Amino acid sequence: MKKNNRTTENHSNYSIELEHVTCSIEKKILCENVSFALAPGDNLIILWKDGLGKSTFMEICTGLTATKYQGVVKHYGKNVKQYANDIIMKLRSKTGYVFQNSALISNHNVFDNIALPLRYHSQKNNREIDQIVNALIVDYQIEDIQYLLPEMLTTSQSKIVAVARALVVKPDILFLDEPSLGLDHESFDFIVGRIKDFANSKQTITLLLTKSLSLSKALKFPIAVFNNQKLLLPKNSGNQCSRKNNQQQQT
Amino acid sequence: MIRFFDITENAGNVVINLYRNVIYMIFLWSDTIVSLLTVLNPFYKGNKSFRRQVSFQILFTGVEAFWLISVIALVCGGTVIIQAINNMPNFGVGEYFGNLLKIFVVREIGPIVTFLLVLGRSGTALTAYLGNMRVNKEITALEAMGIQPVDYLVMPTFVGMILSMICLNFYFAIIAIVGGLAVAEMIIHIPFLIYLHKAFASISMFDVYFILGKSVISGMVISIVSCFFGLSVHNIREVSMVVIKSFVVSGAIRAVIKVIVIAAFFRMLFPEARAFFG
Repeated sequence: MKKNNRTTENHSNYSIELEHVTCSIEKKILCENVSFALAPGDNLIILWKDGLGKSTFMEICTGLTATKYQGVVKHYGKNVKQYANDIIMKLRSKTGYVFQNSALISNHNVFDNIALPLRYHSQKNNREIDQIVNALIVDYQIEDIQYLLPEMLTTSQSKIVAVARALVVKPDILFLDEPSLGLDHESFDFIVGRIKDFANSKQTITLLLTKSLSLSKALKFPIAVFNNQKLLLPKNSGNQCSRKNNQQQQT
Repeated sequence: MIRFFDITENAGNVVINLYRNVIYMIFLWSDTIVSLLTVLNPFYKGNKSFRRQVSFQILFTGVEAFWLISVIALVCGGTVIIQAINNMPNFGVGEYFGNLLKIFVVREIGPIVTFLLVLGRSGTALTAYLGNMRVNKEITALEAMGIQPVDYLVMPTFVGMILSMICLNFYFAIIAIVGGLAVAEMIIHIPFLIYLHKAFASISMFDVYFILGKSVISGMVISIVSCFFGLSVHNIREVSMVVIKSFVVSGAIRAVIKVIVIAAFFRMLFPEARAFFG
């Protein structure tokens, strides 16, 4: 019986689901009763003001934080709190995450930073991994900075490296936390292009948190807005995310 | 006004934190051992950064500390040997020169000086480095990529630190004896080869195992305690505090382990002293 329940529970169409998530830090409520779901092929931009818990909310969505919220966060139909640690680590190996501050490993150069997830997860040997990373570096036009440490990079270069590191594993889900912060125009267009390519490539999910209206307009993804701790979801985009959200809002 | 309840509450918190930290350190140690066994499995294909990270740790802890250890070993060895050669015949125990060198320099001074140097140089740097990584969200980034910080940061450090400690302890013993005798020959003109033979004749395989055991314990204590405190940082202000904490706690844990081991050895060697050692 339990087994049947578990199998039915895992057969959800949604890769990411948030159900009635309320998050508060030190008695300050960041978000209240947030529910939405994203299925493969869905993309969502959440517009959120600075300093109101954007990164914390992103960590909740990714399952990196398990203690700062009430409600349920499901990945692939199962509550993230119920996953064993090694399973959730394996799931994350197919997930890309671009941090607001890029969060590149400080004592690794650019090449090693990009190769890091492949070296840890991939079954390929070191020569094959080096070839993949070299190809990506040429593709991203960062050959001249590939042996520099993160501290020597500009903000734009750090962001590009962070995006490359997130996409090198060919993830199913891409989380982006303020990817356009501090970018010059050229880098902005480059990163927008990469995100669009990723969103159009296969049945992938992109969840992007930003305060930038220009980025939202450039990407043309459905936009949700955080206002007064409530998430106002898009109604007219027609994807599964909106359908489930509309049902929930009606109920 | 300080209330009695405040005092008891604070004391209780200290005891609870101590208990919690000890339990977490034991968990970290066991996770590290499991991670090491996983990597050593020949069929395991993941974590290809392991050798690179271990090499980096050995370079930083073992190779770069070599000159510092050499100078201190030379000074310690020279001082002990000159004092022993000058003073031991006055007490009629000149023939025990080799044994004194073995017990004092090889078994005691060497491991403790190496431990303190590596702890002060590498342990504190490791704590600060991990603390900064935590503050800059690099640890969170590793977790977001599905990389266990224990696999990627703690376990290679653990292995590198143990290997470095073993090498440094043997360096220390050899340089203290050979270099110390050379210094003594230059200053008080002793017959170098005769004393060298005496010193090495007194060292047995038991001493080699003894140094090996001490090195492994020291390496484990420094790596686990430093990593534990480094990973427990929440904000940048805590980094300097946890560096000091990790230094003090590592020293305290090694002292406790030493007392326990001494007590165990004395129980075996001197059965009549069991009442004293419990």
